[in-house]
Amino acid sequence: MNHEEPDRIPALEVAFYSDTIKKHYGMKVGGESSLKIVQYLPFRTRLVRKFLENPKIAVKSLIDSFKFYIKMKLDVGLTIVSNFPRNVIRGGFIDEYGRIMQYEKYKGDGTYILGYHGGHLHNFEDFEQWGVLDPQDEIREVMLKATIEAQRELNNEIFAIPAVASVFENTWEGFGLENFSKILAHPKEAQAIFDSRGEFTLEMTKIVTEHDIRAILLWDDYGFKNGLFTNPRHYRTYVFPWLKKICDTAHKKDCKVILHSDGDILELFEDIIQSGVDALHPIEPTTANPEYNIFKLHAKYRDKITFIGNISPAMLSTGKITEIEEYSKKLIRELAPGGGYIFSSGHSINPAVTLDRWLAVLNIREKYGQYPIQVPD
Amino acid sequence: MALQEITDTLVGLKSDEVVDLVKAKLKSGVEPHEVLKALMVGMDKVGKLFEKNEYYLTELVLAGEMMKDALKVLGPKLKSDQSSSKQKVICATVLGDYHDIGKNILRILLISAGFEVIDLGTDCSKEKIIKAVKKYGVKVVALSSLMIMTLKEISDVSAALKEAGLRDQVKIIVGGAPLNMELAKELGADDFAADAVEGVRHIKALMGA
Repeated sequence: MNHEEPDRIPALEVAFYSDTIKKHYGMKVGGESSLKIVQYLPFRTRLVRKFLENPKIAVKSLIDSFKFYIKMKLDVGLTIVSNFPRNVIRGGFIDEYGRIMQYEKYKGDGTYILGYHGGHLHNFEDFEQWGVLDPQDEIREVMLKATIEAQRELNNEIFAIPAVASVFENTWEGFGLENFSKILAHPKEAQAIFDSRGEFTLEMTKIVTEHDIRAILLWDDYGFKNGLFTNPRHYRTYVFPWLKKICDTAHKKDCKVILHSDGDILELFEDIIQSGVDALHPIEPTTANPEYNIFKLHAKYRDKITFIGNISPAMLSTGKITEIEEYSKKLIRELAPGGGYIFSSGHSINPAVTLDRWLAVLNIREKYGQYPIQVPD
Repeated sequence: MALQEITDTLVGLKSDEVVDLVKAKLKSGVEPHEVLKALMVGMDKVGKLFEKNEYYLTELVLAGEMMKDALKVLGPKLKSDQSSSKQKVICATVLGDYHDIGKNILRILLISAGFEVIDLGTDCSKEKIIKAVKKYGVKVVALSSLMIMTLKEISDVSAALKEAGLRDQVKIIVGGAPLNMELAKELGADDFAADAVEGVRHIKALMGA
């Protein structure tokens, strides 16, 4: 992210949902099934919180997860410091933002995926009753300490980065798109809601930097396949002022900011750079806009931002191995020289990604990922 | 001129005004179907603004919500003379997929365009779709699939319709992030739409409307 050449191209995945691939690497799977029991118990929310507040469990689960990443020669491991359950419900939970999250079982290999199922909040009055998010929540401190300890236990073989919910997506998802669209028609209400969420992410950034952690990932989604969720002026009014404050705060403590946003966000690209974001993930390759292309964007902005991505999950599910290999090589050949590129899929690893295709990706990175970059045409 | 106000309110996204305006027009003696027509013109304009990138998703959704609110007032007054003649469309998100934003936008745009929508919800099995096709005699099934691992469900619905002897009577149109026209056809669908506005246009074409 300093735009310098390291020893090898770093690699990361922000989410890994595949029991098949996990089993291949000897990982235990099926832990989600314990939720089937918990959801029926009295005091289930308190029980889940007790579990999350346990430092030993937090460190162990992170070490297990990071060991899996190390086996795949990924360099970055994410830890979650927001979006914790506020209420445990049948099949899932309502998170701190009011998002209804449910576990969905993929019928192929039985992988559980945590999916968004709508907003719990309906209007501004609900938001006021729901209250603000607490950056000082005990669980976050446990997770941040576990982040540092797990990395140290593994002799810094993995770079552990806390991931925190950012200002746009989590906010609207707490209401659902229909209700949130109505709120946007009332600027004072919209401003109050975004300010509350922005303040939380800013405080979390301060806390992360106080732990001397050198990178943070902001979870967000500004766009979808066909463009932005909302008018660019809304991002400029409600989101980017906070994003700038967050980046400035992080940079004061030498902490890099990675932004995750799906979708075609070309219209906001310069705003994101001007806000101070250091790296952008995943430059989604399956949008409808041919101009939202990692190679074109890299040619224009290579000195201003680090690119993370973007092997298509669709290609990883159904593409030919040779096609995957060629695209992976092209990413390394064209984007890695000079630094400023991190190898990754173009979204996440979902259960439809097959083992042979995933191994092909890892093989290319292993074969051609060393600096100085030498990838044959 | 009086009804232009309704159209303008919808296009201007004045969400707090539309219901009162509709009530006022009805009270002043304007025919319900004339009010509906003005609203439909408004939704059509909003759709065009969306396609021109002047309006974004939340603005399209807000207009849809305004339309829904207006229809709550208008609905009871329209029922007697309208519903039986409407063309019917099934909307569903395929089995294993719970994403419903695109489907819900399509539903309201179809209603605004004068269709009757049978919304089968999310995580919808092929059996449920077949049952609804038989029950309502629809000509178009609109399927949404946002996840790569649920795309196969489109093929399964197409095959199930064929097995039930209904495939020739029903067109399948699909939408969702991983899809394009080529993949849609490969999966056994007849058509693909990149967004809900395009979806309405394509469904009209499939219906021969």
